[in-house]
Amino acid sequence: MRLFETGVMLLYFAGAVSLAVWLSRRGRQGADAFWSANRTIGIPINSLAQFSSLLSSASFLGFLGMAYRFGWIYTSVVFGIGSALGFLLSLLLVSGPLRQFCEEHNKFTLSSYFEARFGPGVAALSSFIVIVVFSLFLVPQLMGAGLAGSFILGVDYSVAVILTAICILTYVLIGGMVSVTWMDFMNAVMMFVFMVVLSAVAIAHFGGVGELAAGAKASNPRFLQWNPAMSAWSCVGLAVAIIGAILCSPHIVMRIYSARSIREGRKALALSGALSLFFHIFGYFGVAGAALILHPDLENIDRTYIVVMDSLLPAVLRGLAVAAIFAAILSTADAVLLALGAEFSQNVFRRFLRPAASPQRTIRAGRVMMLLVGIVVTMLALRQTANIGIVMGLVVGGVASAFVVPLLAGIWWTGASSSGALWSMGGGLTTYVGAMVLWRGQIPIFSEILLALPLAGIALLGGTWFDRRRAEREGVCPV
Amino acid sequence: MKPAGRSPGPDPRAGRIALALFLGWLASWIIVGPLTQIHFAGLPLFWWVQLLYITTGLIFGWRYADRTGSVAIGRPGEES
Repeated sequence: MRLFETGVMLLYFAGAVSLAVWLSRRGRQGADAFWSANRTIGIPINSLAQFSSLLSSASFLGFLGMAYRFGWIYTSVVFGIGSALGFLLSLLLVSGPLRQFCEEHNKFTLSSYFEARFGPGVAALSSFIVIVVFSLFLVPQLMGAGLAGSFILGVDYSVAVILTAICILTYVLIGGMVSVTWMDFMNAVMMFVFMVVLSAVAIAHFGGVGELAAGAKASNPRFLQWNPAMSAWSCVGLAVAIIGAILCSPHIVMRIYSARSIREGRKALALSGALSLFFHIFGYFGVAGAALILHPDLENIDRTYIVVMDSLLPAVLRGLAVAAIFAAILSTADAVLLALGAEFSQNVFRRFLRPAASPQRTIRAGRVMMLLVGIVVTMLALRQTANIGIVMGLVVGGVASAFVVPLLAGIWWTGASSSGALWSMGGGLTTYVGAMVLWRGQIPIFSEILLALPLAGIALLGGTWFDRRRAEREGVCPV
Repeated sequence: MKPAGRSPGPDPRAGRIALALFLGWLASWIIVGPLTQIHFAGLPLFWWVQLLYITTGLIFGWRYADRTGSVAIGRPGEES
């Protein structure tokens, strides 16, 4: 075991739990405070929290490895520019109306919006998709924690998974949105600094940008070239999945609700886009380039960050860099867990189980749900050996396929009907899963969403037409 | 059939700009082949075009956010 790195990780975890306990007083004021931090979060904190919700274990372990293997140009365009475009479109298309909805109705979840706009059927399907699909999203986060913990710290895989799960559950259950937002702010600083610092250290170590680029190109000629092995369909599909996930992922949408005002929420989104762009372009250039020079034959590309950090950073910074990897895992897992709790308490517990429940009882129900999900996904993570990046990519694409079309139609097309939204949500997800299962290996990877989104749009039109015909037959005004 | 609720009213100008931004980005992939063959400062022109595009977009987004205080609930076009 590397004692120093282990000490830093434990200190980080202890700090996270302490922060949650301290902030929990603010989280006990009611449902509004617990789920949306009383809408008191300013621009810098909110933008870093949004940025850290987007980043996950894949940003340090998986996607960086893709820069190493498939070239930096590829990851710059897909992850850097794709995510920045996602934040920009969110700013223009969904942030204002969703935020306004939150203020008018005092609701905090995506499904609440679907209920107000399309009725309980669409909201129930939305809640089901969020709870099932997003629970699976937690599995690769804990797997990442297990892999990083076992490789760097020398602890057993299962010990690292359980320790991380306990930490996340503790501060989410105690503090709610206040502690999660502040925790994510600190996590974002850690992630941003330690990717950018490591890149800067690597550039300086190899004598400058030109020297690093030349060395990396010698190992991988496609590092600074467009990689013809990557299909344009695959690149566009992955970028569209990232854009869609930013537009409609519950754990990112909830950040809009916690902003002080629409103006501040929108500015935070613009800033998040800029941070993500810089992180993926500058950070990945130095780190992936250095890995190509230091370890040109790296077999497990998920270890790209780890091997560069291990070679170039002194012990003190190495310990903090380990914490940055865990910060990436925590920041996604806590936000997803909170979104799941909000989804269950607001849209399942209050709607179907206890409509007259008090706000405190609703929060308790959400906490119980988060605890159960935490236990189940920890058990799944202890048994899983699948690839982290693939699992995450599939979940992100599935969420975007289900929610992008009904969400945008709900906001931008007053004629969109309940059946249209229902068909679109179910049809989009079914097409995505069907294409993935039936045509695996026959169509470019990540391109399934390019089929699912147009079909979701057709289903929306079909369902709306169906509702209008029925309304005409029954002699009621179509909606 | 459950009657649909009223849509929170968006700013139509933002919608048009967002649509143009997305379609512009999508259209750039049609010419990805030729643009990756031409290089500027050692990097494919496609990369520079994308970077310039998104940087301009983000600056616009920041300024747009600064100008818009609130968005009305209602039909498209109603701005408070």
